[in-house]
Amino acid sequence: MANLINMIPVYKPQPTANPVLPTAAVSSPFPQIQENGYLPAKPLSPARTTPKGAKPHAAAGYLVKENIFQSAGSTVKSYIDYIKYFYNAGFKGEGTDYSVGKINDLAIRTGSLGIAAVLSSSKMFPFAKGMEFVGLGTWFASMALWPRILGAPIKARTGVDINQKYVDSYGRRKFVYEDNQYRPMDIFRYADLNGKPLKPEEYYKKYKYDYVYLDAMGDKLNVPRNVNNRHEIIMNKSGQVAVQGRALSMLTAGIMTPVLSSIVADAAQQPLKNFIEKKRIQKESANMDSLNKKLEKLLDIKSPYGNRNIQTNLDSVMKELNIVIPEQAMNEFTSLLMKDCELSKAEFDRLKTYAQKNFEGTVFQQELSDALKSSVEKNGKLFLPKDKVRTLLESMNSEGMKNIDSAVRNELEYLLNRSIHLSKDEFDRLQKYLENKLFGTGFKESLDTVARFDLKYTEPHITLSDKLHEGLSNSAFDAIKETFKKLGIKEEDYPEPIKKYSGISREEFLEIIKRSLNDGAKEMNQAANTSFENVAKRVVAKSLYNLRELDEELIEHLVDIAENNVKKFMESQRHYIIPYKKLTDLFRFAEANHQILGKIEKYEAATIMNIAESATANNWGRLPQKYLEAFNFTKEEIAQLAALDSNYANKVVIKKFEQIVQNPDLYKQVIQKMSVLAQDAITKEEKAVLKLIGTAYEPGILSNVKDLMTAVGGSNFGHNMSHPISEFYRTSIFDVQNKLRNTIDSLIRPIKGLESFKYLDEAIIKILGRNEQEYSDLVYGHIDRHISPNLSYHMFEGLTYEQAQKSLKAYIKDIITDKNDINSWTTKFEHTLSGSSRGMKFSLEMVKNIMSIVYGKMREQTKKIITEHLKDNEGSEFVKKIDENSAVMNGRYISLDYKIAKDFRENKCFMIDYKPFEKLIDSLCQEKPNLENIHIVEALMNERKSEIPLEGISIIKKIINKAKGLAQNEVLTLDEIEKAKRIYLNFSTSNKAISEMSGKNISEFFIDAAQNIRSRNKWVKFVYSLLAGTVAVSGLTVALVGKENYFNKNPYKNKKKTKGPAKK
Amino acid sequence: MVAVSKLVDSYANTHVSSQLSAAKKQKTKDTKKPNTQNDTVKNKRPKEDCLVENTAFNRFKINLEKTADIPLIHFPRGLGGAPDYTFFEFLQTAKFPYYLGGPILAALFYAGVKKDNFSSANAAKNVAKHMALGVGFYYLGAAAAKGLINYVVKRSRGIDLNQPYAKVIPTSTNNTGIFKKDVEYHKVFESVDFTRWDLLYKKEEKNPRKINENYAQIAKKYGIEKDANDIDATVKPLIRKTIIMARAWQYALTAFFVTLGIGLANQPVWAQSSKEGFKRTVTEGIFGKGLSLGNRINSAKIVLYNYMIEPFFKSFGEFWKGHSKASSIAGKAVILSTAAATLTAISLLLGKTSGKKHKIQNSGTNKFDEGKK
Repeated sequence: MANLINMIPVYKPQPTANPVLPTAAVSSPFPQIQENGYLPAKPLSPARTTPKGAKPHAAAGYLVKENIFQSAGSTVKSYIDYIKYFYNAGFKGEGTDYSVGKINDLAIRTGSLGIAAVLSSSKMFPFAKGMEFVGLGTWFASMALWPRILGAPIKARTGVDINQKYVDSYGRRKFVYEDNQYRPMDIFRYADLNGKPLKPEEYYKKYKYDYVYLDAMGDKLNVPRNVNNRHEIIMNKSGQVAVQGRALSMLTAGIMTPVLSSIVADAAQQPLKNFIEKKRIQKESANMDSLNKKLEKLLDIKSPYGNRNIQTNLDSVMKELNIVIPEQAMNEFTSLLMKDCELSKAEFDRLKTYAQKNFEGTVFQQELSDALKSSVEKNGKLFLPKDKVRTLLESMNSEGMKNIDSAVRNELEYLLNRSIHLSKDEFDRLQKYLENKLFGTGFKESLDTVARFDLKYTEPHITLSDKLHEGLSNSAFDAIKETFKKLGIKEEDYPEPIKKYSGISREEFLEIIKRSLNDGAKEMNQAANTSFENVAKRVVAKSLYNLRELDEELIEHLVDIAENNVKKFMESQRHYIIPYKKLTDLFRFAEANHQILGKIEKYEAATIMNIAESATANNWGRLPQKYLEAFNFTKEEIAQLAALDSNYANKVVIKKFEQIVQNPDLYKQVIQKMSVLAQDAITKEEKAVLKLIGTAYEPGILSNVKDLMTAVGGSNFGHNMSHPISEFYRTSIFDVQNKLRNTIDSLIRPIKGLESFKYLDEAIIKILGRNEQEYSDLVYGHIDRHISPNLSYHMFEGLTYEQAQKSLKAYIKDIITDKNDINSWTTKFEHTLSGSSRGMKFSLEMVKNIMSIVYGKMREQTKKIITEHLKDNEGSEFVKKIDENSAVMNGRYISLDYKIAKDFRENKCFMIDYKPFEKLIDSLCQEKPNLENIHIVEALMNERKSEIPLEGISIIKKIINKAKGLAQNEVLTLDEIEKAKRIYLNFSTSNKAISEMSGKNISEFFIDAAQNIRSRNKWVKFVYSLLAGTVAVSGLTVALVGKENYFNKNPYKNKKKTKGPAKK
Repeated sequence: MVAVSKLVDSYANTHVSSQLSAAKKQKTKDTKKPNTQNDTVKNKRPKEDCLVENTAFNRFKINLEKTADIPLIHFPRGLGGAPDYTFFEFLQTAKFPYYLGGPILAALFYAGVKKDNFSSANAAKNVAKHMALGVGFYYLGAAAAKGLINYVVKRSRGIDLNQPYAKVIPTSTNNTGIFKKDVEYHKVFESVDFTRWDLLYKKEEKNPRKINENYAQIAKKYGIEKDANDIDATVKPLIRKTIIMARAWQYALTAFFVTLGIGLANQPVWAQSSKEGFKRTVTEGIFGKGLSLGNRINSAKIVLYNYMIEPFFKSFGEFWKGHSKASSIAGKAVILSTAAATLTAISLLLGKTSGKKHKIQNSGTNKFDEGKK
């Protein structure tokens, strides 16, 4: 900050604390007092001569009187000046203390902006990015604001504005009271009563004498009007006030700047968050809408199902959806798929002739000669660059090339395909690239599945060519050379038979092929090249054994080496043949999926994703606290909730619930408050989910992508691709659905939980009976000693009716508020399963009863409370949602029913099969259908849309339409109804079923909220205690400002006593 | 104050009127002539303004003194509205919010984080760590920018921008009792408009050449090799130019350095090493009981290298690379622009303040000497 710039006014006089006031020139009573109301100063030594020639410049300084906007404007203007100052000082070495000092101000602002930019760039999310600048802004704002705040009461009390500025004769803006040793009194001369500087002529029109402003200030400072040199005294006095005020501002700024900036930034947080959230969602929604339109067009969604003409051409799909694979990525990929094409001189020449003769006048000719021209020579071989070969391979499939002689075509393909023959290393590199590129997308597996069916891609191959013949011969020659070199025998000294040895003849080579391969094969697969290798080894060995004149041992040795050489040579010839077109298409397909998902993910990130700054996250940032507020938790309870572990916190929550249900008014109030909050939050999230997955009637964007990509994958790459792709999207859809369900459940659970608490007694009676007698009938009468002869323990073992009631109540309360994982509460009843020595037969019913408490339908009374509070149909909609949620959650938990039921059936015990749709469908298919159940059926259907077979969905739709009275013409067969009733959600095999998470349990929900509230409270306490402390200190000091003190004795009082020249 | 006079004594015993090494040599040679001023100052406060040797010890003492004066003298005087309150004092009090604001802001941040929840408390700790480090690096960056320019100017031009001097406050005007100040510490070159040229003259000397000796030394550094007339008048504008440029660049570089500092402090590498490990290495490794000296040195090395130097350089790498496109651009931009600004500053300071191109009028002999002959 203020670095020790322009300090030390070395040559300035130091005024004394008790200035010796100049004596007045005239000591008689002054007639001016009547006129002016004060005693004007008289010059002590009036000039006797008028200066001639040289004349001092008139002082050109003036007071600055600006409102806040003008002040901001001149601040901006002055920063432009500061840049000039910097240029002059930094590059030319010109400047003054003032201008150099201002560079510091500039540097601090620039540095802070830099810091904000750096910190902002390190943040991932727009709100966090924005907050960095908000923080910077509030910091500087409070730095500028605090002295003004402090200045206001000082000015009100003393008339001295400690922040007053003036422009000096050089045009530099300065604080009037910047330097206590320098008092620019002149600038007050023509200031009007408001401190506005006027032109002398204007001034004199209004006032008769100078310094009215200063005089008014003096009045406020209680400077008597009848003292000598009053203006000087006022200036000194105002100096005292300014020094005090400015010192106070320095004392407090260190605390107030961060405190104010923290408070302001905190206040700005929510509006900024809301604004950014809204903008983001708007933008991403628009993107989704336009994407969905395109998808619908591609899917031909307007045509009736079954007659749709779905666009499956990959190119068209990508074009329509604006998917462009970056040139760089594509090049990177293809460069891994291909290498430069190696040609011998002869082959090169042949290509040259082709280019001249066979393709005359075609584009291909041009491309071929281009490729030949740009070929490179390396180690005596010619290489065609791979990108040229790529173009050639691509254009060979074009229309104009269809009439080309097939021999030429074959030859061309044979030569150019060398480009796509990858060695083991190159192949591995490709695989690794794909793995990295597609990591976490699930597409690599699909790609592999498809590729696996192309043996050329997955197995090393060897191309049949003259090279093979040559290589085999060389294997034998090399063996000879190597051996004789070791023996130290030169070539001219080789034994005669060796000299005559001619290697493998062409006939022998053809023999190998004949014995090991089928006719016409060009490429040997793994099996073929093993057999080829074996035959080749034998043939080579045989040719060496023919050298009978030689020592047997030598021949054996030669054979050994030669066979080894053959093996090595064959290995070197192995390559993977890349299905260039197919792999590129697969890559593009994977990229296309990846990119679409990326677009959708952006929308998800703005809305429902569990990621910072999504609408959901923002909601979760404040909703729990509001819930907590609705419950009227006390401070102590909040502290307990925040600090205790969930077991104990749960007790606090239960206590609160009990309190609330005992007070009907409070109960009503809490339910209503929560409903408003939940309704709002759920609606928001639901909108997003609706856009993403839609309903069974109107599929959303993710469902459309799934359908389209499954179709495209299937049509281009077969079932092997369509299946994993559809599975992949199914999971995505399921995740989104789950997300919404979790939110809904988390928010509704406290409402439903409160209701359950209220009607708990009824439910307990239902389970345990009305009295001791019923209790023992219900519980003990049901124990089946046939099944569980050794039954020794169950939940109510040895308990009286009251005890059992108490125990069960506590147990259920616990379930409602805390243990929402069904596993943790149903284990108590699992002993009904076969082979268990403990438990009760009626456990199943008991579980069902407990489920109906936790996830049963909401009571009419409660519904009424909600509907009468929420607006219009929002209430009824919300109540529907509560029931839907209960049904769905109940559906999620039927696994247990199912498990128990299955077990009992096997034991041939009493049991009903549980099917979620059975009763619901029945109720819809009656003479008078129960319309209330429609939305529950729909919710269940949407919940498991991806699992229920299409036929089932269409039947259910039909049933619903019928029940609604919409489709009277359609015939609904009994068989269909039966099918619908039997629709059974496969929870038992899905590993998600039992542990499938519901939303947050109530305790967790409140613990989280309490922690947030408490940390906020701590902050509030800290920040406001700092604020209050500093304000108090400031207030006290301001009250004392300008008063007589240790440093300042009252000058005119003394004056009066000792000399007292001025009298009334 | 008492401490002040002691300090002045300590400097007065060693050195009075010059800080330049050449002058020192001169003095030791000139022992035959007793330094009168030295005698008068001995065991008393200085009666007039004089230089204080710029040693680490003196700097420390002066800073301590100045810091203590802020709450003990400047604030009481300021809050009381002392009539002789100076702008210097105001600027001294301005240091208080400068050094208090950052830590308070960090503390406010930490007050607002969720500490009941283990995982969020941990995350907040890391953020707080970055913040505290950022505040530290901010001050370090600012200090580094100043230090760098000071070093360059001192080495190239022989001007010590930090050269302190004791400013004597006349008692006749000082009536503030227990808050009385008799000496203030300033820097010779702190003001462009009111540079204390007078303190650089060797007033006690008789020979004009000797009187100007400090200026001659500085002139040499400016590349004015020849023996110019009025060497002090020749070199003063150059010094003035240097001060202006140096100050301007100190401020400008501060902006870059603090940005760089915050950027570095914000890197994940700092979160990797644990505070506990650091504490333990210090308390048990360096100051633990029953350790050999070698062990202690080794621990000190670990503290220095593993906890400071290594993460510092690593943070450069991380800042350069960034974790996203934006942050990598920002990192590179900050590092490169800081380097560029630093180089510009140094090259301008070296290039533009040189006196080599100045036309020096040289009479061949020194006029003063001539007169003697």
